[in-house]
Amino acid sequence: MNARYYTLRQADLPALFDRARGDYDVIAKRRDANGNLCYGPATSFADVDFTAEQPRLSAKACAFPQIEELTRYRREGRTFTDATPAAPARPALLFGVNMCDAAAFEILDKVFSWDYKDDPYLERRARTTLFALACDALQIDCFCDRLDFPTAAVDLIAYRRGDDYLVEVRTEKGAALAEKYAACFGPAPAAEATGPGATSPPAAKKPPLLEEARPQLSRSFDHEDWALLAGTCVGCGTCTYLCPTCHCFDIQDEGGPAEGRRLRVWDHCTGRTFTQMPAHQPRDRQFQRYRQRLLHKFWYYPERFGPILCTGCGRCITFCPVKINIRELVEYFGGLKATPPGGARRK
Amino acid sequence: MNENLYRPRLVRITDVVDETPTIKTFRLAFDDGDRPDFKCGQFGEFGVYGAGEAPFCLAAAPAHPGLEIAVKRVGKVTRAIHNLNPGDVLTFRGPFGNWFPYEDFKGRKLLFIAGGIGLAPLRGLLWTCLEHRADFEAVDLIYAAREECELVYMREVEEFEKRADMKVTLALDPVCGPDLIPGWRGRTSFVPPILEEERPSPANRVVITCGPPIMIKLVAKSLLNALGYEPRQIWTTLEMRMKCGLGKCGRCNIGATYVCKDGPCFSYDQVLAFPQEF
Repeated sequence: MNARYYTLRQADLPALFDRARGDYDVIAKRRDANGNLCYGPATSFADVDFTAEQPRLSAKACAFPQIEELTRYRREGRTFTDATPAAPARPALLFGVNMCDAAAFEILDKVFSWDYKDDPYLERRARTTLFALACDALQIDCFCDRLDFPTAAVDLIAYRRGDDYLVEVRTEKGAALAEKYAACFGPAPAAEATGPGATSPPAAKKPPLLEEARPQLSRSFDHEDWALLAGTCVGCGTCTYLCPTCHCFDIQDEGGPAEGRRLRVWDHCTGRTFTQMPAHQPRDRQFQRYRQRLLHKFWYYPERFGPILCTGCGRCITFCPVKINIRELVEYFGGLKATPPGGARRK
Repeated sequence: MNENLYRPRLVRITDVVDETPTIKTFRLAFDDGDRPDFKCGQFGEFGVYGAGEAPFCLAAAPAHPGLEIAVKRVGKVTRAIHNLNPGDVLTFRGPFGNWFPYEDFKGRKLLFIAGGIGLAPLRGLLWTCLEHRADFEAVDLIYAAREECELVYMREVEEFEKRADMKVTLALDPVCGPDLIPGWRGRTSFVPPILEEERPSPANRVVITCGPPIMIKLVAKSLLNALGYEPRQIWTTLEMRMKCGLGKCGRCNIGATYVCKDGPCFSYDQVLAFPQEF
């Protein structure tokens, strides 16, 4: 559908939130008991942090929970009865999600819907409406100005305009929400009635985009500097857990022989056990595991599915305990920069 | 939406055969008799509720009823499976993955090269070829293992040895010399020296190999460099930790390839195009 534009006044936000709660499970940014900003169920607008500040965790858990029940089993004599949990009935609204977190879903949709349809993900995804809040500026380590991530599946985007917002409605799901709560959405100013004005964030893309690194990256597998530059990785997996697009998982049983649950849980390719087999370990050294993560994001995934498996949120840089900077490594191994991070080595 | 793909079916153990001290064959049947169709080379996710699931190749010919898997006791899931008896049930999802191009093999000379439990992923194809022996110019087998106690399906291999229309070569690793393996009737050699000595000509031949990655790599090197084979004359099936079997969990990737979906059966020209980490 063609995008439509509305004005959403700051003063109408609480009313929009309250009315949406009647129809949706509303997920928004709010502080947890420790004061950390995170996405979660919100029951009062007073708790909601409707700003562009980046929360610690991405929003991917809305469609891809960290721990998800696949089946629940119970032993009956020598056999079992089992059942899959019912999908959540109510639609969900991600209210004020950051653009980089909202865009990640369209990227993840590719892997979860090619060939076999991943029903647990797709059912959660189908019920979710993405109402994003565009950032005014880059934060800490983010680099979305260097990526061209897809945004066609973000249902609504709010751009700050003084105290109020210009809302871009981009999908049928978004239009349904805007129509349902029409009282909260006024006409857009004439200058922006057909599109955001020239000053509109998100920031203009700066070349060279990281997409341009792919041809060189696809020849970088045997580059001698991987061991040096990725070898400091400690395999903690922090980057993958915080990442909005990392989606590798494990399937594990919780419980005993009598009853329990089969679960899908987030896993990480930087861990030693990820590919460990009884008599064989294809990625025996730590740099090989980090190389897998980087090349999966910037070479393998785009080769297979189109988009880069990254939205430039920068969390993996901010929270890496050994300060590995994925953007700088992509630039170096992708041939966009001649010298490695930290400067050239003396030969 | 469809039925949740992660919910397994239950399959009942009908028979357990001790192959080696650590490997057992499990023969399986569905209570409702509704076994899914599969092709030679495919695999399934088998498991025990409470312990988890793991990928195993479907080790019997599709024309035979039921399913068979060969399970080596190495970890939590395989230990739990080994503790089961006829009448107990396993969880099953599958069949998954691609298969060997059986029709393309017709009229060719087939040489199967297996190492240890690596005979299991080839066994369904091998039996199917032997049951249609007239369709092939040759069906031969080189079967190797580190030690005698790692050879599986030896009842069947002994039958193969008696056949006039099949050449079978057995080999154990030459770690202790032939004199020290009492009664051993086969060779004591790695596979590449056997190939380079017997020199099976590449004319109209396809080699199908499975075993430890090091064996696959050395066999391929020998065939390509010393015997003049083309990479696409060699087929193999790769073992990776295929957790979901559905091309989602990201665990079996080699480059942009999902081994669980695009494989596990690959011709060696495909293998050579991978980033070399398998």
